Amino acid sequence: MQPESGELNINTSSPAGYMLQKDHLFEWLSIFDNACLGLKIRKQLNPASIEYVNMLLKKYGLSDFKNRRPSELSGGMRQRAALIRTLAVKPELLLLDEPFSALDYQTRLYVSDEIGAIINNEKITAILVTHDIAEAVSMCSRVLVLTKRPAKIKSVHKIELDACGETPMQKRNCPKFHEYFNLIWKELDVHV
Amino acid sequence: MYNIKTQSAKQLEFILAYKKRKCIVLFSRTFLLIFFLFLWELCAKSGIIDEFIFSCPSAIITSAIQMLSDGSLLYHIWITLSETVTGFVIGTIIGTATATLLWWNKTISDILQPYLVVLNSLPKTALAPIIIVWLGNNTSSIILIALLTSVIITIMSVLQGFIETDSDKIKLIRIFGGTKPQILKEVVFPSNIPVIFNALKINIGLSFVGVIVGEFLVGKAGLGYLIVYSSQVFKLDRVMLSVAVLAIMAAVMYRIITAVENKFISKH
Repeated sequence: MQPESGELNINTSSPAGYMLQKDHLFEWLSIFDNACLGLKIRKQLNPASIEYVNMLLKKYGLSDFKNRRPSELSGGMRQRAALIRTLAVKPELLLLDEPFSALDYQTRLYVSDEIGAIINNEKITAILVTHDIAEAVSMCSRVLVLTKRPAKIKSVHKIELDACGETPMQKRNCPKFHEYFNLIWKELDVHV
Repeated sequence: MYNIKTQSAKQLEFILAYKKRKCIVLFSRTFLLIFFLFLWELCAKSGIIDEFIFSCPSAIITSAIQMLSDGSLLYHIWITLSETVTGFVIGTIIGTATATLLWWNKTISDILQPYLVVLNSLPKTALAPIIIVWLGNNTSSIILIALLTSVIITIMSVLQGFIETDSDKIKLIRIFGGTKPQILKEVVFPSNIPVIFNALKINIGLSFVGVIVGEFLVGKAGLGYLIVYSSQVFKLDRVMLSVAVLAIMAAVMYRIITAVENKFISKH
């Protein structure tokens, strides 16, 4: 990654993983081939990396579907497959650009629970960009509120909801969840 | 596939109506053809139309049997078919390759844009006499005419498809550090397979146009030659036969492409 100006300090040499708004799985490839796409492009396809992809598919319940086409999978499964595609190249930093915004509300809650669990499991630092305050508070350990353009960091909130549970869904039930929600809501200057 | 017992009465009614409609369509299609041929035959035999000028189905069949038995029909079919397929294949390859080049280099694409637009609207058959002067009165002229009729539209439609490739899918490859050849191979090409097959379907008709016009002018062999020669000696049954054979050939080629497409897409 090269910044246009200024300095970029990352404590890792491995490239960042990136998740887009839609899963962008390729319909002409099987789920397995989709998951291997990043490895293939980086010319890192070898028995060890294929083993790793198979392990991830198995761990996250997709090994029975590895020879299926993306259109045969549900929205949540597709998003999981897209995440495995990103994780296959072993990034140490994960950038999520509104990865759930293309999903309907129910699927969105379900998938954010799943994806959150996977990221925690694999112990990867993730930066999630979102317009959904509840999503930010329930999924993240720190929330950075940005100003309008040109974006600067307005405030940093350390979210401490671990007492209520581990999953985003459990955190949403915390009394403190609403405090954080209201706090951040007031800081966003929304002009409709 | 479906368990009839679990279907409600409404569903059954719907399926029945659907099947009934399908039957009506199939029957009407067949009936329309038979009715047309019968009417033609009847009018010719009763003298409403002049059989000498309009020919009639029975005369066409007689002439088909005669030309099949002396092998001349198959010879002309083979000539036309080989010219069409050659022009079609070369046209598709050159067209797709050019489209790839233009996708690769936007500057060249922008420079050539107006020429492509003009060439696309130009009736390529107008170039046929020039090509015959240049290449001579032979098969290569016919193939070149066929190629020219299909190549421009291939370039334009495939290039359009390439340009409209989902930019997020390209971004995905870039994020993984992919190079431009990889973007072409992994995203642009596979996602445009349907576009290329559509181009093929259009090209098959256009190649036939090119070949027939070429054969009209070169006039040595092939169904185009057969049409021109037979019409000059007023053998209208042979003209009609050639046209009917052309229609069947075009339909069969279209079917083959569709079959290959289905096989390709299901495998791909």
